[in-house]
Amino acid sequence: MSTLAQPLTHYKITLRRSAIALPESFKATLVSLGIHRRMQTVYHPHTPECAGKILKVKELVEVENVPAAAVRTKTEQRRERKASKGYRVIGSTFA
Amino acid sequence: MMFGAFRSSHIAHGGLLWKTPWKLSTTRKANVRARLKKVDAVIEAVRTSGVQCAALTKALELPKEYEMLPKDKYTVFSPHTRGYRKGIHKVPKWTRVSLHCSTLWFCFT
Repeated sequence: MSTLAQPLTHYKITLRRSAIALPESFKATLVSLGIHRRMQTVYHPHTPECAGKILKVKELVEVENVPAAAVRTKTEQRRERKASKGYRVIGSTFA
Repeated sequence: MMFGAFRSSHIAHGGLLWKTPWKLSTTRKANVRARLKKVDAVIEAVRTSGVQCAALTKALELPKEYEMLPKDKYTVFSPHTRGYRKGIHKVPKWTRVSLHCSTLWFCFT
């Protein structure tokens, strides 16, 4: 609930539809947004440049406004979706 | 020959025959509406972010899914078709290109 109170500062952009076989400019726009494959999620701050790029590929992406606290890097996203090991090391006999 | 195994048909002459239906089925029309709503959601998200740019001004001029007539959702302008309309599914890459503004420039009814 705390995230709702924070100001929304970033776009969360997910590529849902591929730009394969579309004009090259669509692929170039996605690359400039940092998107290289389908279902990839990137975060960008609210800027007119980024908004223009999103609207260029509006049929291909899904966009959500998120607060700065919800921004994740590629490594953080991977760590978050990783399954838990199912156990936790609480100590070692040999230590 | 009109009958039998060697009758003259499109398949017998040309081999493969792909037939595109003349109009969209109920399911495909529902998918069209779902895609239009998703595009509307993207434009709405950019609008609520508060930025101002020419692309947004242009995008806000596009009709919303609920504002569009069925004619505009499922057909596009065609200069060669009787009635100046053809099924939207005849357009190449029609599920991924912007087509919900085809009537802004053509006033044929």
